[in-house]
Parts: sequence; C-alpha cells; structure tokens
Amino acid sequence: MKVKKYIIGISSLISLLIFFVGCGSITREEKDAFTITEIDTTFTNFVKNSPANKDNGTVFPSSKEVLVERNLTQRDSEYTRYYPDFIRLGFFESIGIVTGNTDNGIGTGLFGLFPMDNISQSFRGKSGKTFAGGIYRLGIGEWRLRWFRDAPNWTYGISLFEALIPDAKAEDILTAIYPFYIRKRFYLKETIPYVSVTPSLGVGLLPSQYLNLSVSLDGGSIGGFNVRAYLGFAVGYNSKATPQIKNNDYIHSDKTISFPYAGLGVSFLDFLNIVPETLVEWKDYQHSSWELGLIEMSLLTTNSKKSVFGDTTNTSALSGFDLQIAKTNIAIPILDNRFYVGTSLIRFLGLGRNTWAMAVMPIRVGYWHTLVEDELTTTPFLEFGYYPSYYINIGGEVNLRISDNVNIGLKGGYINGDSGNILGGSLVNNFGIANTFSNLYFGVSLRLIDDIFFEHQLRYNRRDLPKEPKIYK
Amino acid sequence: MGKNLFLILIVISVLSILANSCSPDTFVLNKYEGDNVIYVRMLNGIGKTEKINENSLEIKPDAIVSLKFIEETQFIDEFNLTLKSGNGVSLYLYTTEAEFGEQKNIEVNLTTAGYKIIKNEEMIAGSDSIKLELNKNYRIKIQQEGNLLKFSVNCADIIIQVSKYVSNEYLIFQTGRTSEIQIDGITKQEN
Repeated sequence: MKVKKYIIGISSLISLLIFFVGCGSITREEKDAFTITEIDTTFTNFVKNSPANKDNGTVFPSSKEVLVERNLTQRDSEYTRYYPDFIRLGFFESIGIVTGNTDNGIGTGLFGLFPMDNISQSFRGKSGKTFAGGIYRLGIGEWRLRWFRDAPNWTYGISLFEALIPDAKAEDILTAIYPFYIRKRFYLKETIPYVSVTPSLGVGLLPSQYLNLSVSLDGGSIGGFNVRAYLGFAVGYNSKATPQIKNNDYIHSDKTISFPYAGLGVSFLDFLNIVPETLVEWKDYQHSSWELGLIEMSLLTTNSKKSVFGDTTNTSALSGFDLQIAKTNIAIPILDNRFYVGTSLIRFLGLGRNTWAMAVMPIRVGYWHTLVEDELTTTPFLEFGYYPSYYINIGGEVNLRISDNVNIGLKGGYINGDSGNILGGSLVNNFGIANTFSNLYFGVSLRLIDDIFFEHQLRYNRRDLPKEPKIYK
Repeated sequence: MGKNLFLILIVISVLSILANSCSPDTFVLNKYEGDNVIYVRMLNGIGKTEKINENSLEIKPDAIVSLKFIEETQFIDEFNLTLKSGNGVSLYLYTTEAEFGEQKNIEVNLTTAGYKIIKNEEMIAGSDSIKLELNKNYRIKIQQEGNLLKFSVNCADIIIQVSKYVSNEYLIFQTGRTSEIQIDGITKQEN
C-alpha cells in the first residue's frame, strides 16, 4: 500500500513538473509594452483692446498677445501576441495491432476501434482474429524537446491514459496514467498533411511498469485526423496490485509481459504542429476544417413507433437522441472549398425503441454554407455508416455559433439501415432488438468544445498562409 | 520494490533534464532583484550567449540577443561593455523582438573605428574619437526621456531626438562574425 502511494505521488509530481515548469502549455503569450510620446505646441492669440482709442507704436505696443504652450503627452500601451505552444495535442488515438497471438484475439479490428462482441470480464478472446489487440491513448500532449543543442523535431509528451493490449487476456494488458514518451520525427513531407517517420520510446509507471519502443509512419494531421502505421516492442510488468491481476479470474500472481507488434492506427482531434507553426500567431493558424467538435448531443423527434426513452407507444415529441464524439468535417479544396468530407470517432443514433444505429468512423460528405457571417451556417450532408450498424443518412443542419467552443443547432433528415446483430447485450436491453429501420427525424443539438469555422478562417481562402515564422540569421 | 524505485529514479532524472531543455534560448538576469528582472533571449540560435552570473552575460560572435526590461519603456539603463574580440557591436533601440527584422529604428554602432548612430537607416551622428578598444571597460548609459534619447559612452554624451518613435522594453545587441562582448553591472532605473 505504501509503495502504491509512493508511486502515485511520483506520477503526480512528474505531471506537475511538466506543466508547471512552463514547458507544457497550449498557448504561449508574448506581451510587449510601449510608450507613445506626443509633443504638441498650441498658440493662443488674445487681443485685449482698451475701450478708448489708443495709439500703437513703440511707446504703445499692440494689444495682441500670443500664448505658446508646449505639451508632452505620454501614453502607455500593451500588445499581446498568442502562439500555439505544442507540437501535438490530441484527444484520442487507437491502434489495432498484430502481435502473433492467434488464440486470444480481442477482436477490435482494423485501427482497434470496432466494438468487441463480448465485453465480459471473463472473456479470453477468440482465435482467428488478425488484429489480436490494440493500443489506446487518451489526452495526448507533446512539446518541443530542445536537447542535443536544439536538435530538430525532438518532442517529449504524456497521455492522460494509455493501454497496451496484446490480446484479450487481462493479465497481459499494460496500462498507465501519464506514460512519458520521447519522440523524434523525420519529416518526409513538411506541408499539411505532414508525413513523417517517428521513432519513440515510452515509459509507463502506474499501475503497470513498462517500456514501449516503436517506430511509426505518420500521416496528418488534417482537421485533427491522423493515420499511422506502427512497428514496436513492449515489455512490462503487472504486479499483484494492478487491477489487471487483482480482478483476474484466472491468474493471481504478478506477470512479466513482452510482445512485438505491428499495427494500424487512427487518431481524432489530434493536432500536429511543426516547429515553425509554433512561431506563428494563433490568428494565422492554418485551419483545414469547417467544423471540429468533441461532443454533439441532440434530442430528436422521429416517426418511430416507440420512444427510445421508454417501452411505450410514442406519443411524446421526444422520441430519440443522437450522440457524436470527436466529429470533424474537413474542407475539400475544390469548388470554392465548400464541399467537405467528415467522420466521427463514434455516432450513436437512438431513433426509437428497436430503432437504433451505431457507427464507428462513419463517412460523411456535405456542402457548407454560411448564412450569417461569424454566426449562422447550414449544411446538407449524406452519411454512410458501415459498422457495426449499416445505414445511409441524408440530412441537414443549421448551426448557430454561441461562442468559440459552444454551438447549438437544428437538424433533420431521413435514415435507412440495419442496427446489426453483433452487439447484443446491454444495448439490446436498453434500446431494443437490432432491426432494420427507416425513419425521419428532426431535432435540436448542443455541441460542446465544438469549433465552427468561417470562410475567412479557412487556410484555402487565405492567400497569405502559411505565414513564414520570423527566423533571424 | 527495488525495480520500481530504480525505474522511478531514472524517469525523475530524465524529467529533470527535460525541465531544463524546454527553453534553452532564454534566461533571466537579476532574478532576485525585485523589479529589476531582465529577460534575455537569443534570437538567432542557442548557445550564442552565456550567463556569467546574475548580472552579467557574454555575447558570442554572430549573435542577436534581446534584453527585455519588463514593463520599463522609459528606462535609464547602465552597463559595462567590454569588447573581448572582433571589431564591434550594434545596439538597437525602439524595436522589438517581433519587429527586429523589419524595423531597426535606432542603431548605435560601436566599433574599434568609432561610433555611428543610425536613425531609420540614415546616419545622424558619428565620431572616430569615441571608439572601443579590446578588453577595455566602457560604461554605457542609455536614457530614454520622452522624445529624447541620451546615449553616453563613459563621459561622452550624445543626445538625439526620437520623435515619432514608440519606446519599448527592448535593447537588442548584434555582434559581428568575430566579435565577442561581455556586459556586466547592469543597472536599471525608472525614468
């Protein structure tokens, strides 16, 4: 117990160290103070004529007086510039890995993203799965590491949480909060979307202790979306105190794990900067998307027979909901840049009882139009979900920007598809049997941590981008 | 337990190194002198300036280095300047780190051949009698007062009018390809 407290303390200290030494910020501020000095001279003429006649001349000078005043005014001002201060900032990364274990495959498929058909604690995997495991990272940050006399493209970083899962056996899973990584990127393409080869070394401390050595071929980011191919080797140790052993139905002793892996990964809302981008102000940052959002929640009225909120006949206006996580709509630079292609990490549409759909990485194409500059936009779209549910969704949205990070909107459309019978379990208990469906829907949306961009912000519409950073020779 | 501790110690050691590697192009002078703090930044690459002590720095050849006197825009700044090698140094005023490449409003060029004051790329003052000699200590005083700039080298004062220029917190040094200077005894007073 004492050891555990000690490790928790050290991990917290490490994370605090990173953030409070000023290395781990998202925005760098540079504030300059100025003093403007103005000198002004005023001339005031007075003519004070006496009421009586008066001769002017040497003895009687002119009655005109000139008052000359010199004023010096100083005004102080400040100007603050804001720069992005990170190399990478990401919400979620998922990698489907091949580890050589063919008997205990977890079954999350390509990219490690697709739902497992068994999520019970005693699940030991299935044979015949190509992608036996996965690597998952949540809340990723990387910052410039200026060592070896400022050698280029080194970074250090952490994630809030990381799991290395070679197979479905719980005792083989290595997990850590705040795992620490050092990476070096060799760029093959230095324009958006970047392409690089990235060797990395990671250390996890708690609850598992491990080392993860890998090299990846990275593509991205564009609109926060990235694809990566990995080769790596992980070695680690799960003590008896780890949840993986403590809650294990099969093994109760500590275990050392090592496995090589090859994998394919994607990441969402994961933004990568090259160093020159961190030297250009945020106002000149290159945006490739019309929309980027973390959470979108909608309440829907649909023509389904029963509401998703109760196993009753649908008599209320509120019969369903729509939830999307990590949504991105990336502008296509053709035809005035208004067409876009988009996806989400996950979308769940509960249109009514027995009428629901779930999609991982649905493909969306649409057209973006601004109705009121900086405020109101509209977008018709066509969306295709292919796994685990299959559907085609034709819809439209009207979005109102409330603030930089919050939007509300109206949405409506028609969706036709099949829930898919691979999920079962609690989903069926909560939302009804998997079924084919065909529904109209209409609803209101609230989007949190969601950025809508406008024409003047899109990099394709700004001829002055990318701005060259100021580098003195 | 031993294995865990060993791993933890390695990581803490690495992180301590990293904490010092996050901004190697900046350091602070007069850190413990209250309002007298000066931020020093190397604008054209690391390793071109070294902090000697809390109040002294050495600027190496081919360097552009800014000294930022935090929130002091009308300062009286005094320091000792010693030319260690090469033939001189340029001081820039009324420009900032961000504008340096575009605006070099007032340049004071101190060399072994004399001095020149260049205002907006036009020489407005110069002399070949006030000049730097190698390894000799010169007291430099810069006083900003309204639209006047008083520049002193030892006891020689040069006053120039700088109307229409906006004063700021920066004093920027640029050394030549072979020049190396030492600056110490920096004192700053509010005007």
